[in-house]
Amino acid sequence: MIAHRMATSGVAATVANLVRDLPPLIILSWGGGLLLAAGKVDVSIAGVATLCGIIFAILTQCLNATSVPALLISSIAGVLLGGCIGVANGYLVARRRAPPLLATWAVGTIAFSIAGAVAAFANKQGMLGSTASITLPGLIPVFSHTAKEFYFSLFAVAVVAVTVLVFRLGWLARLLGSNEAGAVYSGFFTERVLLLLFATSGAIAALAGCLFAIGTWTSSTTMHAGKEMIALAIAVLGGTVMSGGYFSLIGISISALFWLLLTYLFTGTSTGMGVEDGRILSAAFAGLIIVVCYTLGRSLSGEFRTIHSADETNPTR
Amino acid sequence: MKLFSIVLLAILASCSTQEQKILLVLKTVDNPFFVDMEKGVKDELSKAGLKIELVTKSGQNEGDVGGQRIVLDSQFDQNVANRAQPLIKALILTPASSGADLVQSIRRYRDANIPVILLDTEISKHALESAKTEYNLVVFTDNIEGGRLAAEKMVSLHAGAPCNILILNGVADSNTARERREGFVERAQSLGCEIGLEKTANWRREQAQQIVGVLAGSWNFTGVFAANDEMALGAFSALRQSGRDTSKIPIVGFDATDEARRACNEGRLAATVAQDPFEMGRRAIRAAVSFSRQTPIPKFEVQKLAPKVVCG
Repeated sequence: MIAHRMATSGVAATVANLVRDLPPLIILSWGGGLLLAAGKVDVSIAGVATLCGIIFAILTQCLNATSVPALLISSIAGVLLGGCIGVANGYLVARRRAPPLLATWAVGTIAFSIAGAVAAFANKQGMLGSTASITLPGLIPVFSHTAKEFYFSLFAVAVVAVTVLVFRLGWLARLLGSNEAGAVYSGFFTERVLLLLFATSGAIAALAGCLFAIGTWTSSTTMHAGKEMIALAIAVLGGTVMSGGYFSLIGISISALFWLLLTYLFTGTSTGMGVEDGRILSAAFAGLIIVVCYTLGRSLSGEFRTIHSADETNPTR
Repeated sequence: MKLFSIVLLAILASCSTQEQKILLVLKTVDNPFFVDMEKGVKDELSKAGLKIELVTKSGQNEGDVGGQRIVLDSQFDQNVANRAQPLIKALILTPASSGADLVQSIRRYRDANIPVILLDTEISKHALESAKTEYNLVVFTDNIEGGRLAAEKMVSLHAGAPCNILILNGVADSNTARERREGFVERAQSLGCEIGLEKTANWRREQAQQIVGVLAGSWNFTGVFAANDEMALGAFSALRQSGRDTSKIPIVGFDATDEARRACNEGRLAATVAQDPFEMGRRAIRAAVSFSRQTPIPKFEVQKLAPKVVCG
């Protein structure tokens, strides 16, 4: 009863929405950010999230359960698959020296296609790639502090954060991104590091796909199309340098929160068939961003973070 | 290398078959509505016993006009351009937009005397006439009537209680979305029901879920009308997740997909308006066969299918 009242009050509903939507977005952006920090890019994350989300939904249907063990088993299967796809990406980029954008785009596209085929097969629908959303079995949970899905999402984020920190993946990514040649001459096996980063990015994207499926209680073959760009945009907003060399878990998390709140703001205010109101508001926000860029441009572009020599920073020079 | 060349040649040879084709361009294939439509096309094609290949293409999502335009133009280049006899014998299209977006592509097909049959969504006659072109037939459900039926069902579910409805619309640029909304609003208001808020969720379940999730905090609606079942299911999901008593908030959808019918049976949705996409597909093939025997081909012909409210 308390949970019900909590979830239906205004602030609590927004918090419940955030708890539902934020974890997958954060970890997807962490995965994308890791590769950006290493000076590479992984645009297959949306395809991987789609494929693994579909596999996750089908597995829960096969197990006909959404208990914690069932969610765990299905997620682990998805994460393993995502890791394997990540390794394929890593092999192409690190070992075969393929351009990361092209290689990961191709892998992501194949992942999308396989997702369509698998979903069509599972749903016994007419053609490959054709399916509606695959709904998870059982009753849709109330997203509040009493729901196991709530804690499952938080647990997943914690596991990813601890993994990145314990294995110092952010540090390794920055090492590669800031000076790859330097890392090679310092004795680092850069190929292996890159392979590890791609595998991690794939596994994280897969976990995000599973969490998206839990959040929406469904998974479809097109629901993540274009999300790789959102994840990368959030990573960059969170301070990740596109040419490599900087990565922050906290920065990306805050940026994902900002992104989501902004999305809620637009969602909550733009109106229906007459989308003009929504467009006017979007234009107003875009205008605001231009004003911020004009006034704080140097700060936003990272010039204030640059390490200057003592002479350069000395105002009395 | 030699083996590679042989394989490549074999692939190229298989790609350039000279079989006659019917091009079916759907909005998307991730909505069972369009899958049923394709089934109808295939069914009628096999009944007609025609030796003709069906080429099915689609956009990435229901508003993907750019994707549809690319499909139409590339298929034209491959199968119609620079050929004495075009390989494509008819174009069956479910347009992602009712505006002028696809008019130039359609004009190329019509200039090559290929019949253009629209399903589910009409393209503005004015836009087509401005470009000196036309479609030959459009088959669609009377969406305005469908909207009215949905409104009547919604009002009856309220049984005289105050009525304040949230409407989830489809893609704003679509006639289908506009007509469903118009039919619903007109009848609901005439029956004393208030339209509290309208939002567009672009036919998508996850967008509907997000919108209703955001609104759930200050929920003051007594019912939800969604212009398709995917959005209706998304609305239910969000209300359930936010802890609302969904049994007291009737949700009416549109399309009567299998999942929506199941949801109706289980009491998750109150009702859904049924269309007949299978019949639409069948009529398209019948028309294509008929047009192949007629000169000149009729222009701007309209066939409307009657909708009905179903549950289960």
